[in-house]
Amino acid sequence: MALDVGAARLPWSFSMPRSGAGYWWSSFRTMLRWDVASLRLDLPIVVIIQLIAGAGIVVMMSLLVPGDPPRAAVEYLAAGVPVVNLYLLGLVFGPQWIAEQRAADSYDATRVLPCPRSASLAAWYAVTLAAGVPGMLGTLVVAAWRYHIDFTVSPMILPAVLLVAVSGTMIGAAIGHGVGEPMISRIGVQAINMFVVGFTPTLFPVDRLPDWLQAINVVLPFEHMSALLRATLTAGPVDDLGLSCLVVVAWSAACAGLAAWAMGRRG
Amino acid sequence: MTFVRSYGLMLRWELASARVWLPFWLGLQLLLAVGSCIMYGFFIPNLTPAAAAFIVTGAPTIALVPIGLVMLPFQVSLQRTRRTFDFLWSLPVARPVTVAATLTVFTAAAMPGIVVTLVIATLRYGVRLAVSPQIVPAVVLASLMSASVGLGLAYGIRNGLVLGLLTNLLIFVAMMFSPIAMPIANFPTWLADLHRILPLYHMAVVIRAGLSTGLATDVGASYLILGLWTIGGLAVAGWVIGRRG
Repeated sequence: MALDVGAARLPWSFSMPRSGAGYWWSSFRTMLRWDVASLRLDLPIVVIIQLIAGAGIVVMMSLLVPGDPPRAAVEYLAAGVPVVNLYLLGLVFGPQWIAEQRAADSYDATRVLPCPRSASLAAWYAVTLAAGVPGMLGTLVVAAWRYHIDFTVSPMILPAVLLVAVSGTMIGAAIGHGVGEPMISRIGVQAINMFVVGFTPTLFPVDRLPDWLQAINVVLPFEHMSALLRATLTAGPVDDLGLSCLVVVAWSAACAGLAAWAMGRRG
Repeated sequence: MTFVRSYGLMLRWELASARVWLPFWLGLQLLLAVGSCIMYGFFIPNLTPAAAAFIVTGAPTIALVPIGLVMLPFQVSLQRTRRTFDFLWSLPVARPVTVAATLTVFTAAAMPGIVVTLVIATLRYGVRLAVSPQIVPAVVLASLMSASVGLGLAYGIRNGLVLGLLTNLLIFVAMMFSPIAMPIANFPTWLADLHRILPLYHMAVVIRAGLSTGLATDVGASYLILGLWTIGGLAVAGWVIGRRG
């Protein structure tokens, strides 16, 4: 029967149980294809913007002040920009994309798909990671070329990148799914982006910030995200990586939970 | 309906629909403008008085970008997805009147934020300004120009996501790579040349000329280029509204 043939191709066919690792995995793959297909025209643009943004922030340093910028400042900046690359799609563009879906009334259609929310979030994470890494590599290459920086890359960069990307994506998912009004989430992510670039020790050392801002940054994830990446990219000492790891994991988990709750909420 | 009467009605329509969002727009404007002014101080550890004067006199220009070039396109793209856009065009009002009302609201909406940004930046860096009456035409033209170009972008680009990405990029370029808060002499030649064609640098020049003496040169050329960009933005918008479908 034609119906059976069609249904058997779908991960949520009637013949399969809607739980278990096999179902999760096929949901993950389907959602990954869904996300990539929905954004097929936009992902190349995002990657290009990533490359421009990353390389741009690195080069910008020499526009702010005439002459060559100090070595330490440049090295700090170059190890911090990859944080921006890794969160840009998940934290800044992601919520705006969801806002767009809400405004176009297509958001609910995605939400009712019969796949586990964790699979849907994981698939979106895979997309943001894949879009962020080329930008990050571009940034590091441009920094190494423009300022002759020798990065000391440790194998721990792999878990660091995964962790930084997951936190950015989950914060974005919590905002995108949690905030109902498109205009507010759009302005909110602009605000966060501005805050990270200008008011956290991601791109410049922490001692330039006033004390109260330093204190706020201890509990926010961004300083810790940049500490994790910096520790795996430069030979310089980074304080208390254990704490940074803990804060980033806690924010990721809390925001993933919040996003999953918001996705399942009615009304 | 006469032009004046329909303009008045459309202005009321625009104000009524902006009423809810105006506080948020102002919030975003202040956040980006005040934020980037203060941010520059963190990026440049030992700020010279000359550099501080440049940042403060560039602040109003940065405050113009979020309203005309970001919120206006976003508002139009939201109208498109919510189908208000077609409804607006179906009203028995000449289309240029609708455009004029939108431009009026967005040109004026930028003003309070500009003043607040300038005050905060002046206090933060302790710079003494030399304000001249020239500031009035400078700010009005710069604001009208960004609203016109924003309108041209919004009408010309139908894909909401592309428009969103583009306006994000614009904020970024305006804050980071424009000779608004830093002298154009710091820029490599090719980028400086590019900025002499684009409007951002010229917005900064005319506004800086109204706030200081000696920091801005060749103001007449900048007025001319801003005027051309305004006409260009309106021409694109006019071409789109003249078309059916």
